[in-house]
This record gives sequence, structure tokens and C-alpha cells, in this order.
Amino acid sequence: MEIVLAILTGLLFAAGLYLMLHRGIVKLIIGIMMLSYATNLFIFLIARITRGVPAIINQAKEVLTPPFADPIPQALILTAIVIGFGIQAFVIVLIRKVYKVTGTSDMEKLNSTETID
Amino acid sequence: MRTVILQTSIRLLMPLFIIFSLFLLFRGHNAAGGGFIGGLLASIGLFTRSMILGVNNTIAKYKIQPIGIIASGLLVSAISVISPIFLGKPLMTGIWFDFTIPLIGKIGTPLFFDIGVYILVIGVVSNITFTLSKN
Amino acid sequence: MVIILTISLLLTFISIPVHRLSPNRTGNWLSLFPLGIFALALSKLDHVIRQGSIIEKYSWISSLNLNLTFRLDGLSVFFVLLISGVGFFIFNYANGYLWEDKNKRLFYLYLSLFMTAMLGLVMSGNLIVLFIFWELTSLSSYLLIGYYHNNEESRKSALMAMLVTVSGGLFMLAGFILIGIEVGSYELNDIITNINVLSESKVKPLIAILILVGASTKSAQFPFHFWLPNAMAAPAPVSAFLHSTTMVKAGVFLIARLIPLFADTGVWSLTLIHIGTITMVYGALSAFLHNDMKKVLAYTTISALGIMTMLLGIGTTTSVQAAMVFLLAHALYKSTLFMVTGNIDHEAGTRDLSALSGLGKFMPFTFYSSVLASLSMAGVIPFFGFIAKEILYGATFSAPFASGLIGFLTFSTGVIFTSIAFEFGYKIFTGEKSTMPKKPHEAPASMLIGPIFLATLGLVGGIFSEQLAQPILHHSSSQILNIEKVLKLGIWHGFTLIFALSLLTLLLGYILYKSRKNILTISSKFKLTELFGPEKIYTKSITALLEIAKKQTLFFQSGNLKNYFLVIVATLLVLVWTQMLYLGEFPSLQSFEELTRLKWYEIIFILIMAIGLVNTIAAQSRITSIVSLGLIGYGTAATFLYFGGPDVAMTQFLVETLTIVLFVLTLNHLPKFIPLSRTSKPKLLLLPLLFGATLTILLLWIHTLQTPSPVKDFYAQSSYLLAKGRNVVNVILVDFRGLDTMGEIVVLAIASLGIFSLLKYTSKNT
Repeated sequence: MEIVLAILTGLLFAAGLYLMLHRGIVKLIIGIMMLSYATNLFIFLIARITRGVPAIINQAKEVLTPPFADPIPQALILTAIVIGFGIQAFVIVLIRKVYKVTGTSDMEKLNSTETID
Repeated sequence: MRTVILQTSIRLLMPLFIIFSLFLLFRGHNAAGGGFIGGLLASIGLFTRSMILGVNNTIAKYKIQPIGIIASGLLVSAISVISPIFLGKPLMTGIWFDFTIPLIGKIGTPLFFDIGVYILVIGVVSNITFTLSKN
Repeated sequence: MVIILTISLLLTFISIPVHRLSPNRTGNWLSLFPLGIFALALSKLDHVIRQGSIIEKYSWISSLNLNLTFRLDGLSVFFVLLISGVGFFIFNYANGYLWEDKNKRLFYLYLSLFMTAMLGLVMSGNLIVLFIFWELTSLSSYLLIGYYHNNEESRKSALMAMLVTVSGGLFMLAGFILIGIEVGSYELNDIITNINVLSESKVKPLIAILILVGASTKSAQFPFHFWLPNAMAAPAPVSAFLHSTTMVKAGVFLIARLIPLFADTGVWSLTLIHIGTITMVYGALSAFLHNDMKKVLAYTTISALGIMTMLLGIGTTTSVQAAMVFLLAHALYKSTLFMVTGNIDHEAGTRDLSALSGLGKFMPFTFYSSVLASLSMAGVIPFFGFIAKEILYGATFSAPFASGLIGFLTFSTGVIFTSIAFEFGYKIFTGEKSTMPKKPHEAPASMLIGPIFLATLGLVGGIFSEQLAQPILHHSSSQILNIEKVLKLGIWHGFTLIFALSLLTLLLGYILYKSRKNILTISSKFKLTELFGPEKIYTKSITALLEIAKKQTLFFQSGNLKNYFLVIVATLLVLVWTQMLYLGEFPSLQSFEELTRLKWYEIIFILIMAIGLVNTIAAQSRITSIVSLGLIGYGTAATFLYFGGPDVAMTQFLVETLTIVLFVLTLNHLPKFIPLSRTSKPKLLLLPLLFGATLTILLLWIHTLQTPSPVKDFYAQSSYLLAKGRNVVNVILVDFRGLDTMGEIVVLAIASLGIFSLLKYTSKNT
């Protein structure tokens, strides 16, 4: 299972980067989102997966006894997902605005505005 | 989207959404759930309602000012972070009261922290969705 | 003396509200604060003189053993009185000077900030605290010099002053830290009590040099002097306060403070005497060659600071006493002359010495104060300047070595000072009225109180020097020397050689004044004033720095998003592969045997994710790729769910739903896909595939390693017992790592505010 998931994660990373290298701005967002799935899965997988045992202490016990899923990456991913959502929304709105103001969604054309005085 | 059936059903479902999200919030400390999840669920409910009955209608009905909600969520969390200092304990020490409330369970600063997260998530998500659907 | 600092800090905070209440009288109202501080310091004076210094100590960062220590002793009480006393007049003066200025509330804010910093500096009893206030004075001086920020020249000058003084301050900090390492404490008291530790230290000369660099930049010593004449771009009250009386004397103060530590170090006194003497002569000559009144005053200030440095370097009892006496005399006459110059500039529209004459009729009170200050500067009996000059000559001619040379150079400087005093006190006010840009008239009352009072004090202080100045100066110089030494001030010491020299100074000064015009015509042919180098080095290095920064920025910030991605990914690949090759243990297939086996329902959602993946890339329309993206998202949620992460799974599921909805909502406003050209596709695929493969290998490789996770075990053990929660993930979020979550929700709030403002405020060019 780990091997399959690892390959899948690698593919997600590859696909995300591939989309991000496109010129179109919408593909950029999709690429970023895919990259964030890949990253979340990556973090989830490094801690080694355990099937079906959540990190919740049984009513009868006071401590968590193995086997149990590692709670640390889960806590990390949980906030990452929510923040990722906030950032995605921000990026989408930003891109909408850029598109509206400049009339183009081509990344290659957008970089000419940077000047240094 | 504004069929009568949908309109009526969302009016009926809305309290369920809120109650279920609160349930998820309060059980979060001991079982799957918590402020993030509860907040997301509640805001999905609000968003569905605003899609069917209109954003302005929803805002008027629940008196929602997203920025205000975000601020109060942050405030609740921040207070629960700071309050242990007044008892002479380090920042963020979890303080629990002895009594329990039926359905909610034990009361303590981590719970208030989670409540703050819950409120903030509702504010953030409804701010995003409302401003986007208004435009 | 925290109370003094508190008052000053309060002043900083209320300066803007006060300006709102009384926009035309802000300076007058605010000046009550320095007056209060003056009174407070005066009331403590008796205590300091009789019972020794007052030390207040507050724990600050106890883990670093840093304390907020403040001390009011003979030296600091002298400076506090000087700062607050002159400060009182400066606030009043600014009220008139900036009468029509629109931004003046900021001026008062900066000025009070500076005063707070300066008071903190002189009262610090801890080297680190001293350093902080030291840099704070540089910072507030930057704001004040650049006050006319619409003027490029003043922005440049402000930056120059700050860069020079702040970088000097960093040298000083290095010296302080070395002291801290050697002695083990930053407390001034501890360092002085453990003076032996430092004396035996090998790095002591290095420390001395580092600290002297700091002091020299601040007190505008050669070759770091060039920022001070440029700082004259500041409004007159700033020049009168910072650049003559207070801030530039911080270096002198620091040297005086540390004399007990370094007096026995050869390099210390030698350096001080050398740079002091060079600065003194150089400043005096430059002053003589300039015509802009403010520049002239700036260079005489540099020269005077050189005198003080030199005197402290000589280090005998008389010379240290002379330094303090001269410091007071200089503060009184120089701040007056700066304010006089401000008045003339303000009311006559020019400050060119050669273009001014006959002002006396129009500006009688300014005339009065200028004459008095000039007489004190020239050192005429019975002014305080005379007393200072007598003791100054006495100290230099009795210096332990090279006394003849030092004495002669001091005497020559005195002659030049006298000739300049003639310009300020006589030339510009008498004779026929010259043509001026404005019709000259007397300055308003608030701009006269300061000069008149301070100039008169120069006279009264001279006559009653024994009663007025002697006690405090006696104490401050004893404090510097760390032993009680009698200081006796008086006008009449009999017909001595020194007295004869004093008279000779006046005579030669008058002759020099008379021939100044001719000398200037000759010197202007050689462009003497533009000859000197240190400023050029500064300008060149700043230009070079900007040039490098520009090239570097263009190199790293190409503005092409693709390049950024390539750089980031390439760096990651290089780092990961070097590490993996370095460790060299690649996973063998056997090591995977213990891994979990695939189950049939898991195959389903993995297939779903794979389909979503292919679809997203291949899709030609936006909606298809977004829905396919959703498939991946839900597949991820399912993975989390199957492998023991119900919380994460729920979150992912809900967020996924929201994201799709969000996309659908905005889809109409989003641009269509841009098709790729066929040739660029394969090229683009190479790096992503390498990237994905690397991460897969990395992931598998990590799985073969056996690393214990004590954190995981800690959470498992203590989640319920310590934090009373059974859901460990939630406990980590709201309790164990609650502060992280706090930071994260703040990020969320900020992102949300960003969206709000992006959509709310449509820019004008849409």
C-alpha cells in the first residue's frame, strides 16, 4: 500500500509542477492545489500509516496504546488544509483581479511590470 | 436554484446544520471533530442558504458581518490564550473548571480556544463566499 | 531613574494628541515636560552630590542576565540637566520656527522620541541598554534630519547620518559584547568593580578601539565627521538641540563614562588625543573657509567635539575637568548661535555670512543674544567661555607629553573661533543693511526666549561660576575620574601666562577676522573645501552598494514565475540527491515486505484518484479539470480516513466541497485556458517527472529507516492525563501546539481580509 501511495504522491507532485509551469493562470491555481494535496499526502505518509486506528483514546483507558495513527502529521495537515483553502481563495480572487485589470492571463506577459528605479 | 422546495427545505435544514456543527465542535476534544471541522460545516450551511435564499437575505437573517465574526473569533481565542497569565500561570496553560455541563462536557480554556477557531472559520469562509457571490 | 524616562516617554505619546488640542501652541505646552524633568533632576542633584549615585535596577531578560539598570550619578545628572534644560527652550523655539509647517505634529513626535532616547542613553547603567538607546538616538536623528522629506538633499543627509552613526554603533556593540564576555556582566557597576579582570584581558586594546569607533562616529570625529555638516539640512531647532548640544556629545559622554576602564590603556588615550587634535584643527579650518552660517557652526562644533575628545584623551585631572567645563560653555553658546542662525534664516531668508550685514536694527533681541554668545565663544572676560578657555589652555599646556604642540594647536583653534565669533556677533548685525531675500524683522517671542536666556546664562554663569556651575561640574568630573578631585572655578587667576595667551587669542582673532575676506578669495581658487576625502568614500561605497543590489535583484527576481519554480525545484532536487547519495543506503525490495498489503476497496479510491489526475491534466475545459481535481481531493480524504485520520478526512472533505463551489462561483470571471504549443510540452514534462520520482524515492527511502518518535509517544501518554482530551489530534491543535494554531488562524484572518479588500476596492484603472 505504501508503495502505491508513494507513487501516487510522486505523480501528484509531478502533475502539480507540470501544471504550474504552464503559461495560463488558471492552470497555475490547479497546479498549486494539486501540489498541496501531494504535500499533505507526503506528510501523512512519512509518519508511516496505520490502518484504521485513529489517535483517539478509548473511554476505558487513560493513555493511547499502540498501534495508533501518528497524530502529529494529522494536526499539521489539518491546519494546512484550512490555511490552504484561505490562500487558494485569496489567489483565485487575486487572479480574477489581475485578469480584470490587465486583461491577460498569460504569465509571460505579466512579468513586464516589474521595474526598479 | 430558487424553487420552493429548496427554499423550504434549506430553512428547515439550517438549524440542523448549526446544531450538528456545534455538536462536532463540542465533541472535538474527545472524538473526531473540533473547531475547524465544525466551523467549516456551519459555513457550508450558511453558504448553501445564501445560494438558495440570497446573500443579503442570509446576512439579514443571521445578522452576519464576516469581518466582525473574524475579529470576535480571534478575540475569543486570544483571550483564552492570555487568560492563564492572570492566574499567574504561563501563557496557554489549559485551565479546566471542575464542573461539567450536560451535552458539552468539561469547560476549560482549550474549549474556548476551539470555540474561537470555530467562530473565526465561519467568519473567514462566509467572508470569502459572500464577497465572491456578491460580485 | 525610571520616572524621568517615563515622563519623557509620556511626552512622546501625548505629543500628537496635544497637537490636536492646541495646534498653534503645541511646542509651548510640550515644553513643560522637559521643564518638569529639569526640575526633577535638579531636586535629585543634592541627593546625588551628598549621598552618591541613585541606581535603579529592573529585571528584563533574566535568562540572559540582562537588567534595565538606570543610574543618576554626577555625570548623568549633568547631562540630564543639559538635555532637559536646552530641550525646554528647543520645544518653545520649534513652536515659532515651525509655525506654518503642516507636518509639525510629527516633528514634535520625533523630537520627544529623541529626547527620551538621549535621556535613556545618559542614564543607562547597563551597556546593552546604553547601546539600545544609542541606536535609538541615531534613528530619531534620522527622522529629524530628514524632516523635510520632500527635499532629496535632506533625505540623503538623513540616511548618511544614520548609516555612519549606526554602523559606528555596531562596532561599539562588538566592543560591549567583548567586555561582556571578558567580565561576565554588562552592568556598568560590575565592570568597574571588576576592573582587574578587564585590565588583564588581552583583547582590551581591541575593545578600546571598537568602542572609540562608535564614539567617533557619533561625535563626528575625523574621519567620520562628514555627516554632521550635511545634517544641517535639518530644521534649526534640531541643529540647535541634536547637533550641537546633545546627540553629538553622546560620543564624548561614552568616552567619559568609560575612562575609569581604559585610562591605563595606551592605545585608548593615544587614539583619543590624535583623532581629537586632528578633528579640532580640521574642524576649525573648515569652519573658517565656509560662508553658510549653519555649515560654519557645524564645523566649529566638530572642532569643539575634537577638543573634548582630546581633553578626555589627555586624561589628567585638569584636562577631564576642562572637558566638562568646555562642554557646558560650548552647549550654552552653540545652541544660542544655532537658534540665532535659525532666526536670521527664518526672517531674512538667507544664512550666507558674506551676504548679511546691518541686521541689528531689525532684530535687536537676536542681536543681543548673538553678541553674548559670540563673546562667550571668543572667551572674553567675564563670560563662561572665558573660564572654559582658561582651563582649556591650562590643561593642554600642562599635558604629560607633546604639551607644546597640543597647546599651540589649541591656541590656534581658539584664534579661529574668535575670528568666527566676530562674524556672528559683530559683522552681520552692524553696518549698512545688505540686500536680502526677505524683509528682515524680529523673530516671534518663542524663538527669542531660548537664545536670550541661554546667552545671558553664559554671562551670568561666568560671573557666578563658583556658585552656579562649580558644584555640578565638580561632581561630573569626579565621577568620570572615579575619585574626588577639587574643581575651582573663577574669573580671576592673576596675570599668568595663560591670561596673556587669552588676550593674545582675542587680538589675533580680530586680525584674522579682518583678513578673512582675502583668505577666502585665495582659498576659493584652490577649492579647498571640496578637497577632503572621507565623504567621497562614503558616497562611492553607497553608489556601489546600490549598483550591486540592483544587479542582484534583477538576477534573483527575474519576474518570471517559471524561473522561480525551476530554481526552487532544482535546489530541492540537488539537496535531496546529495543527501541520499551521501548516506548511500538505498532501499532494497526486501525492506518493503513488512509494509501493509493492499485491500480491494483501497484499490478503488486509488483508481479514482488516478483517473482524476489524468483527467485534470488532459482536460480542455476548466470545469472538467476542476471536477477532476475534486476527485483527487475526495480520494485524499478517503486515504486519511482509512489510515486513522478521521479529523483530517472530515476537514479535507468539507474544504474540497467548498473549493469546488468557490471555483464554480468565480469560473465566469476566470480566463480560459491558454493552449500550449506542441514543441514545449515534452520539455516541460522533464523536470516535473524528475521531481515526482525523487519525492517518491525519498518517501520510500524514509520508510526503510527506523526512527523513534518521542514526541508521538509523549502525546499518546499525556493527552488525556495532562490535557484532559481523548482526541489527540484535537488536543495537539488546541492545547499542546495551541500557539501554532493561534498563528494559523491569524493567517486565515489576514488572507480573508486580503480577499475582502481586493474585491471591495476596485482600483481606478479598471
